[in-house]
Amino acid sequence: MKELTKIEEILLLAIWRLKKDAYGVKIRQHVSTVINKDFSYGHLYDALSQLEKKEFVQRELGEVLPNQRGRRKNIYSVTELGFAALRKAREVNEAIWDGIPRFAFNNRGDNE
Amino acid sequence: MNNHHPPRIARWLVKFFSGDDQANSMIYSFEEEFYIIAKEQNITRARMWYWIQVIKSMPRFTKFSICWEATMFKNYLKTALRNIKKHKGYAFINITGLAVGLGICLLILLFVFDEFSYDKYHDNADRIYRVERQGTYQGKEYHTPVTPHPMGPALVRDYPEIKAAVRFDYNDIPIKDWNNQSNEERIYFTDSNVFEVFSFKLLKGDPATTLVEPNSIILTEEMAQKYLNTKDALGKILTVKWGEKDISFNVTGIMEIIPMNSHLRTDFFASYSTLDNLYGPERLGTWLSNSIYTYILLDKNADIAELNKKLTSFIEKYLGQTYRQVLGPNINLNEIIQLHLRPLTEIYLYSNLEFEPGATGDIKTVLIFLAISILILLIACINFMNLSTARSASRAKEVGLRKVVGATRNYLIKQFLAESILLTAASLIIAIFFVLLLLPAFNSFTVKEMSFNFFKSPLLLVGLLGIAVVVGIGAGIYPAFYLSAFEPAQVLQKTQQSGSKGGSTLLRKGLVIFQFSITIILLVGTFIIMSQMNYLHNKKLGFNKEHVIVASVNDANTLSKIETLKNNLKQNPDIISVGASGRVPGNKSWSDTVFRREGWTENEILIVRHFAVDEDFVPTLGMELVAGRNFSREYSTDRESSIILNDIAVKQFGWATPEEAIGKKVFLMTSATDNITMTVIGVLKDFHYKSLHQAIEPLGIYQNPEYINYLSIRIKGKNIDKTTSFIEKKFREISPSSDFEYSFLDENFNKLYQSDERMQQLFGYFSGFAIFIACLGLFGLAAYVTERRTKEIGIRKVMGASVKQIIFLLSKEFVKWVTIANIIAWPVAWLLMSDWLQGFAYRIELNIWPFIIAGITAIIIAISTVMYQSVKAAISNPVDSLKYE
Repeated sequence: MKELTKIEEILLLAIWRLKKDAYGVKIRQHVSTVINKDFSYGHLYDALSQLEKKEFVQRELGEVLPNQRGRRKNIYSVTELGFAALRKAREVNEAIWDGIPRFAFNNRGDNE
Repeated sequence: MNNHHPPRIARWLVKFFSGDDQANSMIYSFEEEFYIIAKEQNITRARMWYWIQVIKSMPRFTKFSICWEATMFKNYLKTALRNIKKHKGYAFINITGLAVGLGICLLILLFVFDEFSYDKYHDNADRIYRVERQGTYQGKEYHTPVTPHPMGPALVRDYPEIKAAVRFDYNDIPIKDWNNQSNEERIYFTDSNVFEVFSFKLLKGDPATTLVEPNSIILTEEMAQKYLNTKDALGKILTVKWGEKDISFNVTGIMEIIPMNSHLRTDFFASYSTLDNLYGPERLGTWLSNSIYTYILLDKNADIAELNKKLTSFIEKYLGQTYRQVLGPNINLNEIIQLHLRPLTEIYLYSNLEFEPGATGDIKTVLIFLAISILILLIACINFMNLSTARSASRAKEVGLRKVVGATRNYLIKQFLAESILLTAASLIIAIFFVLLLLPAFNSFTVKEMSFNFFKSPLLLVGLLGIAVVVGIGAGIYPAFYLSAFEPAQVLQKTQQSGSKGGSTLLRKGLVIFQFSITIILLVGTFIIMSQMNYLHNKKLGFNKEHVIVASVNDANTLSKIETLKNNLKQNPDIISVGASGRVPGNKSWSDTVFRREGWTENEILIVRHFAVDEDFVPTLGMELVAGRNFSREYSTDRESSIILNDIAVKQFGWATPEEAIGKKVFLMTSATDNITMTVIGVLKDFHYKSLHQAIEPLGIYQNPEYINYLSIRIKGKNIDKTTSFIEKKFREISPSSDFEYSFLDENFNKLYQSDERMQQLFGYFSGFAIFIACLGLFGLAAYVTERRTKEIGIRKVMGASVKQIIFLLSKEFVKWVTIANIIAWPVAWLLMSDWLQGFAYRIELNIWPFIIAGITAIIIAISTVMYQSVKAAISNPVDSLKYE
């Protein structure tokens, strides 16, 4: 299984958190808030289709709503494979950050 | 709220770039957020957000759509191939038609590019100009590229924006080869800076100094091999004959062959300084004689319009005095002579003056070619569109089913386009083979050396791919939109399909009619050109051009012994008579001079063409005298002061009848005041001494043994080879060292129509191809229509229709279309061809016959194309046809 990239990690977590609301608009909003800058739809759908190809997420069509001319939103959910990848990513992350306190980089981080 | 739409263009961009897979959900997201912003803030903000979002997403979108298309492309390709396999016949017709059309188009494009490439290879091409003279003298306009010797240097001296001037003075000189045989070659004497201005290439030698010293010569490797028997001729001596003298030239350089696409080509450049000795200072210094070409190189920032203005004072400065001395003090110098600067790159296509240094092209021909090639390609494309839409009925079900299973219109359009591009690509490959096959013949036909090489010009490859895509899309776009628009519910429900919906049938008819109109125009053109050429070849010229050998008299020795030569020749029983003259009919250049007649004032003049003859010339060529007599040895005055005019000259001199002119005096004006008085002793019936493009002009012939250039020898129609070698032997007896050059009078005359003949052949070929392509289309269409009517025909037969009736039924429609095409084509052809005929002073009257013949030919061809299908349908067993479907 391949390593998750950071953006994939963020997306997977977002989808998991949003549950039934995990479709384009909401995912984008969530990600934009997390990374604190505007995350474009082009970028979003590109990353989503990558995830789909790796079978980390699956997509199903939402219900038909009025005023959308029959267009339906895609609702994403994390697959078993996706959860496995997330677990692994968390282990790696914890390993990386192990023993480093939060305030370690507050002042230039020279630790003589 | 709902009447506030997101920006349409932006939305379309999203749709277009997202690939079908994700498009809907993506637009959904865009829109939802758009409306949220519109609600919370305002509509302008929302729109702005939409646009910014789209632009931001663009890079990812592009990547997206490329990935998507690549996947889909495989699918399009598979479907397209399947379809082609399923309908092999249609595919064959489509591919053949397009291949022929593309092939013709490619050949002509090669030709056109070559014509436009003339002289463009010079690095300074856009800054080099040729100095030409033009003006009106004694009521006659002239325009000529030849200039006086001192003009070039004077231009450089006086105008700082003229950086350099290069002069070319050509002489046809016999050169001795290593076996001591001599051959005449054209040597261009040119200034030493020629390599600085022009991009001719030197293989050996220093471009800056090779042509500085007198008696320096540069030649090509071929010529070095021919005359010096070595390719490495640097430092060798080349001997040429200058009159009776031998002159030695040092070979100071070897040059590359001058490219074919140059208006000035030669194998020899000699140094201009050589002319100091050959011509002498007086001839080189005069502003009165014009014989050389002057090219100037302008500064990068030179203003050509400004320079043209300044040249008026240049003429005044250098020519004013001399011209007034010679022509009188009251002349209008500005009217008599102006300088005209012609860009180097325009010489070949736009200039067709007397005394051009080489053959020139014609922009009009190039444009006609281009137009025809586009028309032929258009016919081929129309075939494609026609067949595709005609088959729409059989494909409607396919489209319907695809839509039901979930294909979008976008997808179908792309699929149809892929199919047509695939067909075009296949045709293009065949077309390339076609071109490679025909190129040698086409090259000899156009007298060019064009090559078709991808590796040499990547531009060609890109161009070809471009053509394939443009033609593929051009021909496929209409069927693609038309076919993809079917409503699945309708097409799947109906048993009788909607293939012949009103709109599309009309269009299809229109296209067939258009195709045939073009074909008929080409056919009419071919017929009219053919009959005009026939007329040219058979028109009575006023003399007998058959069985006359014209031999050149080149050197002074032969000229002085011409009477002996004539008598020697007459000993042969196969030679009927021999006449000498300065010009022969079919020559291209004719000198003219101002004449007056007795009783005219100083203001009345007539320009008369003239040449020298001897007593035997008129009878040898079989010309007819309408009054008076021929020159005769019995009258001593005939040699000095007698003239024979042609009928036109008599009329323009104002004499009522030819008889009235006999015995009258005319004056050949040698300058403003001096003249030679001549008595008219005879009047010739008008004969065509120039091509039939030109009207016969006033002409006078007189005797002057010094101006003899040709011997015309009338022979009997048999033993021509033996007679020719006999003549050669007699020439060699008189002057062993000189060349014997001869030609046949009728061939010379026919050469004047070479370009017309080429036009005739081309029109023939083009209309042939156009008919072929149009017939392919018609054949396909007929096959389709008959197939669609199989059931109808079966029922008709069961009800008792005869085979004849059914054939008539099926052919009727097509005959109707071709007839309409005739009606459209005739007036257009009439206009075009009467314009072409304007170029001939003597021409056939346009009558209805070529039109009727072309029309009937088109109808017959159309019927026979359709016939195969109709007969097949008509004789088939109704039982089989009713089982159909």
